[in-house]
Amino acid sequence: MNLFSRKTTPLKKLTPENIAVNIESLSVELNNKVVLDNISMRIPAYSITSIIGQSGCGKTTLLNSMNRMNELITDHKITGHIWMDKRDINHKRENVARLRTNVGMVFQQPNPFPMTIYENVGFGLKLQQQYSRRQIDDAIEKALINAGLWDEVKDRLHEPAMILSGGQQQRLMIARALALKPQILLLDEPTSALDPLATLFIEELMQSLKQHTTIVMVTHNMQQAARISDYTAFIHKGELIEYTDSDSLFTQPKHKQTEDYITGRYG
Amino acid sequence: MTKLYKPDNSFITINLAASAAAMLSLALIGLIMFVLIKGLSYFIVYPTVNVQITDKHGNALEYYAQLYDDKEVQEEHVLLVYHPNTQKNQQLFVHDDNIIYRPIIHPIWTLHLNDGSKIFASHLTLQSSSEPNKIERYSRAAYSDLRDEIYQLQTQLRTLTKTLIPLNIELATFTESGSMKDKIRYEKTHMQIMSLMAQKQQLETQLNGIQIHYQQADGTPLSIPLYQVDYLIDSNGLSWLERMSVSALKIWNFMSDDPKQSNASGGVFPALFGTLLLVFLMTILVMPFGVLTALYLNEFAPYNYFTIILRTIITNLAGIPAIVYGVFGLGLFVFVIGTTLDQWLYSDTLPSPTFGAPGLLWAALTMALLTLPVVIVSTEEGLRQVPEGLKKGAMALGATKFEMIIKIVLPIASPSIVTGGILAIARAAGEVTPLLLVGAVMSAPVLPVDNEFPFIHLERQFMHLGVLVFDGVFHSQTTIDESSMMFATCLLLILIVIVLNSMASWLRYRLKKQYDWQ
Repeated sequence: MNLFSRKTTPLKKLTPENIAVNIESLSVELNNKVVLDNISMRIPAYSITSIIGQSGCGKTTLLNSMNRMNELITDHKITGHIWMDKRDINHKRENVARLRTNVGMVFQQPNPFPMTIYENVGFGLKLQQQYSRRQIDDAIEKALINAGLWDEVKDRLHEPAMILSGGQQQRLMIARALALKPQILLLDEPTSALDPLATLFIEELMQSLKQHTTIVMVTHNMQQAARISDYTAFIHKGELIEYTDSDSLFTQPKHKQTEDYITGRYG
Repeated sequence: MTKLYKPDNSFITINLAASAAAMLSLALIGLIMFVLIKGLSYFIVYPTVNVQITDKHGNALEYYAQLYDDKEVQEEHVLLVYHPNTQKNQQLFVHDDNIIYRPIIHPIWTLHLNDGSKIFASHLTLQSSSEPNKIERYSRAAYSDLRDEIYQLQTQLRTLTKTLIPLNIELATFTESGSMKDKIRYEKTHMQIMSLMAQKQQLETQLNGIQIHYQQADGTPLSIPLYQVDYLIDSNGLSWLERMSVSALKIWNFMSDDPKQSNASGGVFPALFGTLLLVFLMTILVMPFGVLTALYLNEFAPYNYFTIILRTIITNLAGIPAIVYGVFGLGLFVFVIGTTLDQWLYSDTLPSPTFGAPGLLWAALTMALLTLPVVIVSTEEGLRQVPEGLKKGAMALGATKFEMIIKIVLPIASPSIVTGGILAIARAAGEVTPLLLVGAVMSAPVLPVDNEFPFIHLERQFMHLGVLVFDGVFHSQTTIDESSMMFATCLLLILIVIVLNSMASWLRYRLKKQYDWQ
């Protein structure tokens, strides 16, 4: 374990160009219930940031805010700004479809479409209707290589995605998101439905992906957060309690609530 | 004393359920067998007999007749005879004691006329029009020679009629304008028509001159023009294979011919065509509406009292009696919309209505309305089965809601949508009640599709298999042929529904295989 050998820039020393996402006083109300209350955090580029917290604390909502998936819920009220590339993605004139190609997302349960492996990975590219068949083929191959799945599926690209195992499916989901070359990749508990070996695979994959992508991950598994993430945010009842580099958070938590949570006192 | 174990009475339930299922399957098999046997008897070649019948006044009558039952078994017999005076077939019910079966010395032929009746006759001779005095015995070669001649004459007649029609129209326009300049041309056209008419008359005389002579059982010689005969067979002298081919011919005629003898004989082609066209039009109308409504209810509509009430209404629409739909269609489509359309678009032909009368379009719309709830309910079921994760996944890849619905939701729901279509089609193919009010008729002069612009005439009335059966019920009391024609129509209706269902089931199976997400 390389927990102590890791070198991460402390959050306060980040320069503006190193910040991928800048969340400013974000509040989210879903179905008339406050889920996130005045959250401000800056997510560093080319790093893995974990969001931890109890079930129902708003972790997933925070993640969903970054590609505006909260708006799929009919009754929503979102205030505050989220800056990406000097643009406020919460602005009402933001092109949401384009935003979502730029901010990829992988869900807890692998959700391959009832299509072939090829069609699954190419789905997002086909939607944009501006790439030639050859470009799409290349992008699919690259995405599958980056997701570490190419060697396993290169001979059966045109078979249904359902035939893959759970771990393979989850990597396929990552490849599907990567095919669009997103700057930010949101992972919502990506390994909670997988066995330990598949989990290890995904974790190694994330380490290699962070070379060219910013990764934000929600996880229930604190060992995982400590193991692979550079920064960790602890959220409790819709508020951001503590947010710092993972080493500091897991070794010297500054807040009592954080300490209680990471030592397992909150059930 | 306490019970140590509960007595197991489940065998009663099992037996009850099993016997219910058994009764149901028996009823189903019975229904299908009944329709099958009754219907297929329309295509059977019955034997002909030479009989002497004593009627209730004590007169002895000689007949060649078709015998519908086994003369060894029953006491009351059904015989079909032909009366040359009325030119109609009659069915006789005669007791065994009143029949004397006479030996068949000369073969008894059955002449199937193209008006649907049958002549039973012996001693066939053929007479050609070119040599009226030369009468030769019936032989297959001579018969087919004459058939060729008739065919040629009829072709010539048809082309003549075709050239006559525009000339007549031209003549009519001349008469209207009436100027002197046209007078010469008028005379010329008139002369042309006269000469063509004379030609036509000559051809018709020639056609009528080709005669077939025959003898009745009592020896009376009679004759009819040969072109009135569709085909003739010697039912007693047929081999097993020939019998089968005659039956096949009868089946083909049934599918391709017009009904004859006021829907009591002949074929059902216009009704078959009308039914299929109606079902096709209805499907085109109902599917987009039903699927869009279901999409709205399931994907877009907010969950509130309004949508709950709307859903309940739609579900309950399926239970409304079909006649109510018929009355509604007549009231709204025909009387209100049709009449208004006529005033706007066809005011020059008023007061004779174009769309203001029952017709194919209104029937298709009424049927679409009738089957709409089925499609909506079944589509919604399919839409509800689409996993939320897939929808979210598509959205997260930058799909708009529209793209998500087209690429993910509709393909996955497609088996259910097809199921809705199947149910709608099966219902529309068999439903009669509303059609009687909004456009189906017992006998339509023309098909709703022809080679005249705009090729498909939605305002025309049409025939429908179900309506034909309904009509057949009133005839079925008179002769066995007529009742078996009705059953043959029933059989065809069942077959159509089965074929449509299996086609749709196969499609559903394929779609399900392709879009299985589990």
